[in-house]
Amino acid sequence: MRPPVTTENSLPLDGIRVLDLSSVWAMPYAAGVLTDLGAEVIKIEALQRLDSSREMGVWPDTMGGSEPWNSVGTFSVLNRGKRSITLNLSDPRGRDIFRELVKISDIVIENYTARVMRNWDLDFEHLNELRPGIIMVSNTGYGHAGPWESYPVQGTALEATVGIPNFSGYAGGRPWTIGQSYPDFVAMWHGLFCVMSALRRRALTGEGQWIDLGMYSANVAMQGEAMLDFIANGRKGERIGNRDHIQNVQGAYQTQGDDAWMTLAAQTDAEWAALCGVLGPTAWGSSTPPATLAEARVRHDEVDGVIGAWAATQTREGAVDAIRAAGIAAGPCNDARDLFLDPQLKLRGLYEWVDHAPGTGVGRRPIIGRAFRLSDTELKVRGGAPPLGEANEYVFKELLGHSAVEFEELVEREITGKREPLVEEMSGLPIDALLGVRRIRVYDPEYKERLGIVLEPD
Amino acid sequence: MTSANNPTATQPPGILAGVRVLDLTRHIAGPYCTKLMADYGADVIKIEQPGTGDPSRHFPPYYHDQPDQEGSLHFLYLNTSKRSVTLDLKTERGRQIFLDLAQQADVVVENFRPGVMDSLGIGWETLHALKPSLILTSISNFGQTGPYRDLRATELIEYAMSGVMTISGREDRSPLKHGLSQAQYDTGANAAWVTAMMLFWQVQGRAGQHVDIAIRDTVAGTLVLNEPYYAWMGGIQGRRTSAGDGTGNGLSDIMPCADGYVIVQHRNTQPWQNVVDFLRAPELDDDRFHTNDGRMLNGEELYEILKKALSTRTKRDLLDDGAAHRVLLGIVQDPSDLVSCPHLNARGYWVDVEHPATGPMKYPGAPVRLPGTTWRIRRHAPLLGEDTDEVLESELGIGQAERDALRAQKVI
Repeated sequence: MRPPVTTENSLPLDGIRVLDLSSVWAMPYAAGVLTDLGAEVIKIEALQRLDSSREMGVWPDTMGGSEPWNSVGTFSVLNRGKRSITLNLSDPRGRDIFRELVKISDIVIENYTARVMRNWDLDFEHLNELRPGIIMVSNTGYGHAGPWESYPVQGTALEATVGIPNFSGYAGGRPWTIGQSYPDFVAMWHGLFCVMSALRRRALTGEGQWIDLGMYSANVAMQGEAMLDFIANGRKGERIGNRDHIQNVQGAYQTQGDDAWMTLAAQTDAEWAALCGVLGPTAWGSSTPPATLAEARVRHDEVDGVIGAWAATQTREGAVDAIRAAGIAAGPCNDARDLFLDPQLKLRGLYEWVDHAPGTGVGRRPIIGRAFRLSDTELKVRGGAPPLGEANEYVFKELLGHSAVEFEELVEREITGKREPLVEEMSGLPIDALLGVRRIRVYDPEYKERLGIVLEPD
Repeated sequence: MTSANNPTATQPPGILAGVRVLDLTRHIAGPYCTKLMADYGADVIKIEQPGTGDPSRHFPPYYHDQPDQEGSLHFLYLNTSKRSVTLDLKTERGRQIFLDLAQQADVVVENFRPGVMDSLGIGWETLHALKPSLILTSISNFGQTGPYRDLRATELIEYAMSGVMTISGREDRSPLKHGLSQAQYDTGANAAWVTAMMLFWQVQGRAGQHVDIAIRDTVAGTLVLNEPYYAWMGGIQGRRTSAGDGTGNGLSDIMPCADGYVIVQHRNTQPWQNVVDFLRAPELDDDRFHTNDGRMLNGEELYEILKKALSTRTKRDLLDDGAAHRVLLGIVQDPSDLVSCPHLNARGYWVDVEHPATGPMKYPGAPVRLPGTTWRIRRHAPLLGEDTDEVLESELGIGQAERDALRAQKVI
């Protein structure tokens, strides 16, 4: 089973074929990254059941065009470089075709409710019989087995259950979720860790692996010290805003400018003294500035008031520069535009320019690439997200050897095909409405010029 | 509950069995990366500074709140299944011993400030020349290259600069970060998968590479909605309005219920009627609420109806009933809820770990189940230098007399 050694400039997953049945964020993103690494990833949807992130509302200039399911920005980040087929697995013939594909594939990724693949006889035992050595990722909220096994959940709601909001939020206030669907990314990293470990083991032993990726257990493992603090000390944790639970004096402070904020963290007595130097002797009014970091932590509310008053007189960049110049860690609260224009991220290539399929109206735009670099292999996003069903003929005819007649019959029976899929809501709110409901805070009409976006000619 | 410290002879090896990791990491991000590898079967040798060790040994919280370098709960959790060797890398002999150990390793993981490995004489060029198959994984705030390489940062500053804070919290209050140390854990998990990918590469006979992982890149990589809003339509997302105490229309965000907090999330692949039935609120069966856009535009009314419907019910009732109606539900749990969670306990999640400083104690268990292979905390987090003698003797043949001399010189 040991794969042949190939040339040094090949990609890490050259020759690996992945069947991606997953939807929404976590596993589609994981499978998208696999395409960067050289894998051939075939995304499988049904005309009767699209990946719901094809409807996620981020269309070019709010307009979806004639095929809005092919032009969503978030979908493009998550599904870059994949091939797309439609295959109705609810139909027994569709499942037979899936089995044919399994026989020529290395990895299957799915995030159905636990019972679905079992009921179709497509669980790991069955797949491993069809293709000995197969690696299968089953991503669910709670993992297979256990009383909550079949409870439906997605990242946004699950963030509450895994416990992290118990520690997140303003002091004295309600729990908060942070970012966008955080548990999805925890699942992605842990799932990829298991996939890569399983590929290594397969290369050595020929054995396949089932990966029972429950997002709940992975996320609880990311709060270990807080769990142990309860188990050892009975402490349930609390919400402390942006403060540090160990040693720093820190916070986020508003500066001049439109919703402009900066952060700083003083970590030692010397840094605290240096910070007092920046704030100046008159900053404390009639009170005496705290002499030590420990005293500053005791008087943190007052300290925040003094730093806040100073920051309000500064520009964001000016404040960050002044604090850094004093030898103290500081940084701006960046927004989406700041990130695209950030010189460090530019140099590291976090965002990559991708040419999207003709006809989608997307053109050439930047998307998130990968959060790592390798010294000797240059990795690249290999293409935009696939239009629905673009690889039907390639997969059915070239890979599986179906005749044109057989293929037409499958189209006739709606097991595959390219006709308009069943979608409920495909309307995009215009910019004014997005601003009105605060889906976005600011509209930048010059974003294309700023980023250098090139639209395809009409 | 399974017993972590009483392995049975029938347990198959971990999925990373046979991998040797030389672990120079400290604090949280690097140690979580190598903990994942160790608990899944890799042999991880942690190199620590003689005398003080990993600085996280001196982080609270401590067991029974007693400061003790063997009692930091951070350290105990993040260093399970590893061995500890003390070694002063700033001495020539210490450096030589490190390189001898590197000869026998498959991967080195480190999270010093960029440039420190080179200044210690154990940088990528040196390691690659020493053993071409060796992988080096470096974890840092901003990466090994670029104008921000040497900027200092903490968890808070990583969150701010990654873009996550400007979209978290209320627009009339400050941007907000996650509690605890999620950026560090995130990066540990990200580094672990890329390292495992390079182990797959290595096992095919290819040369090792230097893996460069940045905390800020890792967190910024999660903005798969926020970034496209700008690149697709010029929209810059902000924080939540004050409407609905920051929840907007009350869906997909944390709302109070009778005994805590819950999240009700609706997905378009399910009928809205499921939510109406689940909440026993017929007034939700209204055209204005039937579409996503309608729910956004009529958010205030929706919030009031949701708030009222949730106020009389407990979170566990809502969780179970939500599942029965195929509605996505989350309930805010604290550690006591998690430790007593019927689901986690039915899956044998919590494991017992025996440690000299704490006696037996429950720890979070396998993040992911890999049937046929074993995730296991093979031993407690090591005491500082617990394995120095054994590793030097068995791996490098350094005898007692030489070890005594090295100890006297504070090299080990």
